[in-house]
Formats: sequence, C-alpha cells, structure tokens
Amino acid sequence: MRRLGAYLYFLRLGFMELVAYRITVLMLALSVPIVLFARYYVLAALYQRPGQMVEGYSLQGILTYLICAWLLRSFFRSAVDRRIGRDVRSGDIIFDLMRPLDYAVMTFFRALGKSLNRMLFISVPLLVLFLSTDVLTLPREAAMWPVFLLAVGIGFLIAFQFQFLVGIFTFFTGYNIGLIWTFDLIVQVLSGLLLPLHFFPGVMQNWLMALPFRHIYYTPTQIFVGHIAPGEAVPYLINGGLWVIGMGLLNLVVYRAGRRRLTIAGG
Amino acid sequence: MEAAIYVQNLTKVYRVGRHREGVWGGLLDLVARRSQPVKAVDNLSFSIEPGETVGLIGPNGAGKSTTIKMLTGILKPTTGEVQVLGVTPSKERNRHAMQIGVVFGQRTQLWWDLAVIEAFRLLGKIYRVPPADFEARLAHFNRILELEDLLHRQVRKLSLGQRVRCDLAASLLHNPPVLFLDEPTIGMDVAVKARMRTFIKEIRKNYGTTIILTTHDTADIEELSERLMMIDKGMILFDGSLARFKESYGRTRTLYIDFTAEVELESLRALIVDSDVKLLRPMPKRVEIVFDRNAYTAQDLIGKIGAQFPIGDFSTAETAVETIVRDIYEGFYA
Repeated sequence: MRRLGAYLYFLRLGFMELVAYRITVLMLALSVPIVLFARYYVLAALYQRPGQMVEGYSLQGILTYLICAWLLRSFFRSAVDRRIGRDVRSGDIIFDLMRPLDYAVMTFFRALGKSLNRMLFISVPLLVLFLSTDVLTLPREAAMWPVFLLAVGIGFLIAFQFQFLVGIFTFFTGYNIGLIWTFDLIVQVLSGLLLPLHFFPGVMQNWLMALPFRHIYYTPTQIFVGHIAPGEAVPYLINGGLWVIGMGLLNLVVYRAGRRRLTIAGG
Repeated sequence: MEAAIYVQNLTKVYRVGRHREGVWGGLLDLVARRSQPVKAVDNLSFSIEPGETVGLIGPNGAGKSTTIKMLTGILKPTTGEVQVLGVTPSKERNRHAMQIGVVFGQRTQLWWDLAVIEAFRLLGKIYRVPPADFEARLAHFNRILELEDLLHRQVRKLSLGQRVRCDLAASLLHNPPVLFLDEPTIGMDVAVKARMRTFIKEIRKNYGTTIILTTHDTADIEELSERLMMIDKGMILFDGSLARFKESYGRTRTLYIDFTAEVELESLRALIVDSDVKLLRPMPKRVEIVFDRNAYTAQDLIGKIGAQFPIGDFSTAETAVETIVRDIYEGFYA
C-alpha cells in the first residue's frame, strides 16, 4: 500500500473541509434535536396508556431508538453524492480522474474524513447533550458495544455506497440533485430512520429484510436498544457484510460503465 | 530521437445525448438514452519532439479540448493511437498520470474550501515527491509566480488570475516532463498574462518540459510556441512554425484611415467591401480595412476611397496573427 499515505491525506483534507464552515456545522447540529422532537411527538400519539408497548417498544424505547438512529445519521451522510454531482457539472472531476489513484478509494477517504469531522463536532456533542438530560441512557451490557460498533461500521459503508451510487449517476445524466433528494427520502423510510421497520406491515417487512437499506440504521439501532442481543447479531452482521461487498461490486460495474460515458463537456 | 507525443489517425466520436428533463426523465435516460454521434476529432496525426512547445488553436468546439483530454488519458480514443513518452494514456493510466501535468484554465485542482497549500501538500503525497524536492520547487514557484501571500488563503477567495497561477504551480510540483495547458491565460489581465508566460518560459528553459498549449489568445502563441497547430472540425488546418503560418495565411494587410470629417459608413461599406476586403472596427472618423494583397494594393483602395471621402491620414500594417486567425475562423480564406 504505497499509496496509503496519499489516501490518508484525502481523509485529512476531508476532515478539514467542513471546519471551514462553522455555521453549517452549527445548523446541522441544531437540526437533529428539532427533527427528533417532531418525530418523537408523532410517535408518542400511538401511546395512550402509561407503560403501553407498541410493536415491542415502550415510549422510552422509541425515543432511544430515534436518538440512536439520528445520531448515526448525523455523521453517516457525508454528501459525496452532492460533491460528485457538483464536480461532474463543473468539470473539476477531471483532475480526480487523472490521478494515479483509485477514484472510489479517494472519494471514500475524503468522505470518511468528513464523517469523522461530523462525528466529532456534531454527533459527540449531541450525545453528551442527550446523556446530560436523561432522555437517553446508555445500555449497560458491555458485550453490546463491539457488536454495535461493527454494525455501525457496516451501516456507514452501505450508506457510503448508496451515496456514491447516486453520485456517479451524474456520469450518465450530468445531473443528480433531484435524485439525491428523492433517494434520501427513500433511504429514510427503508432504512428504519423514520420508524423501526417492524412497524411496517408483514409483506413489506419481508421485502425490507431482503434489501440492504436496513443495515444502515435499523440493524445497529436494534442492537443498541437491545432488540437484537449481542449473541444473536452474527447473522445480521454477515448479511450486512455481504451487502457491503455486493454494493461494492454494483458500484464498480456502474462506475466502469459511467466512466466510459462521461465526456466532461466544455472547456 | 523518439517523439515525446505521437498521435496517429486519432478519432473521437461522442454520442451526444438528447436529455429528457427532470428526475424521472433522468431515470428514463438511464434505461433508454436518445443520442446522436458527433465526430469531435477526425483522423488526427502529428508528433511532437521532446522540449517542443506547441500552440493549439481553433474556434470553440473545434476539438482542441477533446484532443487534450485524449492525450491526458481522460478520454479513450474511438480509434487511433496515442503515445506520450512511449506510454498509451488510456491503457497505462497510473504510469501516464505520473509523467504529465495539466492545467485547465476554467477548472481547478485545488480544494475550494481549503487553503492553497493544503492541495499542494496533497499533490506532493499523490505523486510521491520527496520532501526536499517539494520544498525547493515550492520556493522556486513562490518566487516567480509570487504565491507567498496566496498559499494560506482559501481557494474560494482567490481571484481568477491568482487561482490559475496556483493551479499552474500545482501541476508542476512533481516536475512532469510533459505539460498540458488548456487555456491557461483565460480571463487574466495583461500583467498577469505576462507573468504566466515568463513562468512557462522559465520552466521550459530549466526542465526542458514539452508543452502543449491551447488558447484563444494568439499572443500566448506568439510569445511561447515555435510551432502552431490549427484545428477545426476535428481536423488539422495548419501545422508548422509561426513564421510559416504568417507567410501562408498572412496574405492580408491592414489599412488604417483617419477622415477629416465624419463619413457615411454604409456608403463606404458599399464602395469597397467585397469578398477580398473587410471593414473592421468602423468609427465615424476612423476605419480599419483588411484586404487581400493579391487582389488589391493599398493604393487602389486609398484612391477609391479618397475620390469620395475626405481622407486625413492613413497607415498600413501587417495583419496581426489574431486577425489572421479570426479571418480563418470566419471563412475569409475559404
């Protein structure tokens, strides 16, 4: 890995990029509690009696679920879809494609840097905030943590793969802003960010279990709230890991096809 | 000696999409594209010696950028062969990437949100430039391009001229033997252009870099390149020295006339303009006339005009390269 040094430099610059925009970071951080507040009260309408359970969740359980999922989201989205789209339209992507490096790996490290930045400046402060106001209590079971972190890693990779896919869609069309919004909403629903997936009807659940989306937020969060015990998590992680590979192959195929189509007009 | 750049029967056919609108249109395009073929580069052949500087000119959409993109390995030729220092760009991508530097005047390889120096250091890592060489080159570029003040500024906040200077330095940090400059002086003021040209000359002198330059400013070519290639509709119209270019196409001369009183431009136009004579930059009391010296002499024209209009003063000049080029684009020689 002679090139690792260069890739790590992409991570470093990706991390630094967001620091340039303090207001953006602040707005992103503020948006999470606001969204959580709204989501929580919509779901709270389901609960009529104290101590009532809906689909295996207490009201406190739902809150924990939402907080965990949204904290993950606060650093999962590195907006590579937007960046790739912008680079294609401006033509600046030409330089990245000319490097003696792999475009996807470069993009990944840059996105990872950005996500680490978000984790440090948005997710961690929010976590501290939630912990200090007793809306969130961390699970006590120590065995949960390594399994949870592994699931988060898989979720992050799948989230990246989807964003990359939407990004390189511009190789074909030159435009992806509409797709970014549409696709993000679809992901929100299918990945369990909006609702835990077992709130959905049975048939739909079967479909959702056959798709990769659930590994983004649903699987790690289920582990976090204790619905998947650490001992039972292995099949979930294997399934998620296979999806990471599958999505990687899909991206490789689409990237190769797109790279042939990409003309970079003008200039 | 082996050619630095060797191009044989190079052709690029684009399929230009006719896009549907919107998100669903985009999705539809993915399954059922509508497109038509456009030949951007048509059977091009040329070779460039090591250390040569070649100016590539041609009207917008002539195929200059497409040619450059195939030479840099960004685009794969439809048919034909390209070799740069013995490497086929589209096949040995990484090896090729290490030996070229590229500047696109309209684009940047710097990072918009970061200070200039950050992108420089990244490039140092990417091209594995030894730290001592990196610092030495940076110091050198700082001196000629006056980058010192710019290095720690956010790229977004640089002016165009400042940014392109930084981009030029960025493209040379790994000291590539071949340099591609695609409209490097676009949008620059006269002073910045002059500094750019000095820098390019110095680079060439110090490192013997082979340079291919596309531009719309013929002064770039007059100052920098010994050789000029003119491309239109994907084909080479002219390939040779600048002197020979002036000889073969510079058959026009320019006549400047000052009138003592305002003249009726329309009747002046009616009097002299035909396929061999053109009126440029007409003003009520001063006109610039470009004529083919095989068809007319200055005396013919002055006599003709003087009979009807009050001539105060006149002078003649060799037509500037810029005018020759414009005339070719406009079909004056067709």
